[in-house]
Amino acid sequence: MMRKTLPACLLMGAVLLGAALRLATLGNRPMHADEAVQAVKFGDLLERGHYTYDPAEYHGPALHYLSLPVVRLAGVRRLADATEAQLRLLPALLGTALVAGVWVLRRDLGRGAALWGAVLAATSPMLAFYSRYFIAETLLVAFTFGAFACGWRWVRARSPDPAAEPERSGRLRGAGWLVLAGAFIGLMHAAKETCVIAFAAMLVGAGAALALSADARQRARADLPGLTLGAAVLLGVAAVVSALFFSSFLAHPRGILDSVAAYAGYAGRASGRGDASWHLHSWHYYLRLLLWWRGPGGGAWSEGAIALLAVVGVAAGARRRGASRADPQLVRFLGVYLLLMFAIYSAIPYKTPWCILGAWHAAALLAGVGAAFLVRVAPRGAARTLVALVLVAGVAHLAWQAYRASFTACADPGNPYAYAQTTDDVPALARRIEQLAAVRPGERAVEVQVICPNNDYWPLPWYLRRLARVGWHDAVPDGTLAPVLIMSAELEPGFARRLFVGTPPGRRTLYVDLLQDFPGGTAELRPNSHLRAFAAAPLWEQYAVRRAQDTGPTKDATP
Amino acid sequence: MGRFACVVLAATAVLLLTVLLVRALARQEAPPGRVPEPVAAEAPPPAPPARKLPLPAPAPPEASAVGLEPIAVELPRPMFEGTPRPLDEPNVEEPLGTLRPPFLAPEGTVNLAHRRPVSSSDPWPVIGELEAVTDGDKEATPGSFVELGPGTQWVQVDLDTTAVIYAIVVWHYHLQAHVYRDVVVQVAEDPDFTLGVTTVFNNDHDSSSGLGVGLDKGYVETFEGKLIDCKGVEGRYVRLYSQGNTSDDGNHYIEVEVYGQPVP
Repeated sequence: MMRKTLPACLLMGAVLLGAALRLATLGNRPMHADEAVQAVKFGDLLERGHYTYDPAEYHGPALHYLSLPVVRLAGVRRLADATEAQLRLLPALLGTALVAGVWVLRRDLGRGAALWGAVLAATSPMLAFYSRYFIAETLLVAFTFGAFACGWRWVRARSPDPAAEPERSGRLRGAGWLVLAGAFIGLMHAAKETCVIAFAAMLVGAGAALALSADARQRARADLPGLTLGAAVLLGVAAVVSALFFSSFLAHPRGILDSVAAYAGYAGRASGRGDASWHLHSWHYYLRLLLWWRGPGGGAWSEGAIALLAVVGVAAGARRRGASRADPQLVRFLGVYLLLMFAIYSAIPYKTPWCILGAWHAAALLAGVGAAFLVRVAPRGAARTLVALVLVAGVAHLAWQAYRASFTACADPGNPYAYAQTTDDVPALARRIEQLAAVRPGERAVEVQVICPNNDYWPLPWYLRRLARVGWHDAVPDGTLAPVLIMSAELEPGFARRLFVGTPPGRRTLYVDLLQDFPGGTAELRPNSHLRAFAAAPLWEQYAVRRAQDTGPTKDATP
Repeated sequence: MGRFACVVLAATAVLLLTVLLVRALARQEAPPGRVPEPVAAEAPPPAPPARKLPLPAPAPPEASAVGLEPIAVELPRPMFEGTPRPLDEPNVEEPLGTLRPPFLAPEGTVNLAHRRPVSSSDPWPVIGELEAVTDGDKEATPGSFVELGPGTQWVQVDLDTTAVIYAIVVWHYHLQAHVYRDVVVQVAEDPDFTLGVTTVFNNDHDSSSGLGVGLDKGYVETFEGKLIDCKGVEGRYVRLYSQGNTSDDGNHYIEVEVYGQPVP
């Protein structure tokens, strides 16, 4: 009884820990620019039921379509009413499912390894942090895991490893896993264009697993017709699922072609051409990020425990079933997949930290194999207790870092995962602008002009989504300036010239500085990207009067 | 074959249902009160790159470069605590209840009125001297203000040269929370106010001073003074009218500041 319930309880504990790190206070971090872009795109689908795939930006439609029921269930019909937490809920749930999903592979990895894998996936700071992001990456990782887990279960159902499970018969055996794997592959494609890297890594991984096992090759040859038919069904299901999403569920068939044409643009971006030079990092960027990172604040971050255990897992599990209970073919598959993903993403000049998320999930699974192996091979008694204690300490260290990353330092420049993170200044600025704009609601709504070169004003469209009249400019516009102005700090001289030289006498509105109480008189959009904000003096006075009315006089006026 | 057909049929049904469900979910009327499209610009363009930028390099100097300068008006001591209660006076705006932030002007903007000559409709003030209006002393204490006689009266400041005027700040008398009536502020190019006269503030709602109907609101005197946005109007002479206040029929002036730059 205990042997059955204990693993379930431990898994439940890991899932609860993972859920707590992913689902709690989802709105605590200001919206990242990329999240805001996705949110505004999602708003069109939410409010008007309109979605067309854009091959140049936004990635795939899965994030938007799958978020739709989640946000609708919360009773939200307008983007203005949506919150950060509601939007981030889908990735957070899928991030939690990634923890629980390891259990699908318990027969292939071994129960101990699956449990350790679940715990390490739950506590990995990177996996936890990016599960709290309204971007497609966690969806891609979850669907990738779903694809190879279900694919693996299907292979095993066709040609079971005699050491692990009894053979079953029937032409349709494993068909459910096959259809699921196909659906997940389609969803991968619908999530993000970079799925092709995962496809390539999975294919090579599967090829390597097959090539390194004469027994597997023999079984594959014996079941060649079945496997071929299965592959066709797999691709067919994947194509149908992908086509449904990209065609906006048959409303925009051109999206299917665009999903292929998109690769020309993304190939250019990956090579560093175009306007992506700020994302170009050295080949060892991901290694440094995950193994040893010291932020500006001086705090050190490391997921070295997972890396170390993954190496142990590959070394112990790739040869044969022994002390490691993992299926060597699965370990080889995961090992090659991990290595290739790291190699490809490291070779691509364009790097953002979340791109390596898929590889790191595979590392957590392999680390589970390594941890289970170490516990098993340690001599019973004090040595095994010591090994277990060291492992628990490693997990605790990861969990503490995940807690810091997701909660106490979620927007801190010292947090390696908070890449180009929007600062807390932006929500504060947006609140102030909303209060100003509330002076004149309705049709006479206050106009706001946001002026940033190269349209570098994200995530402001998310934060100003409740305002009726917002203009977006990349240079100080001609004509009358709005009573509320937000602009890049470097545009201030242009604004002054426009206001005091380019405007005739008698029409030069007096502005006040809205950010005089912010450090340096600017709001940081991201670290080192500064905004200035001004309001026309009469509007500011109206705002001040209204605020005084709302809050009441500070004290009776007494001489 | 029978099982296979069942699977195919079931899969087709699932697909159809999925398409119908998603399209039903997405097909919603635009809710009322939807945020309108952005004005004066296209909808937000695609994702800008998330990036870590170096601090922006300063723009190269240009011949017409203009720097912004926050003008923080030097304030006297407050003479009463807290936000004044609105007075029982029509058309009076609520007190700000908070300090006004510095206003922005081109670099080099100064108080052009400081120690400039002052004339008045009442050459023999009831209390004090006209020089008090531009002497820089803004305290509401005896000796810091001038009181003109009852009725509509004005004080006038000669800026010495034609100037671009961005703001005028006026303190009538802030010992208590008075409201001065029929405050009108004009700028002109000549001392008789016949050339290039611009009214920059007027709260004389019934034109009882004969200068036209004003749409500006009355205001409660506080130590912050009244800031008047002059929108860069050009002129040499500044004239301020008033017609008594809510406490008595006197017309008081502690200080008048005129922020601008001489026209080159």
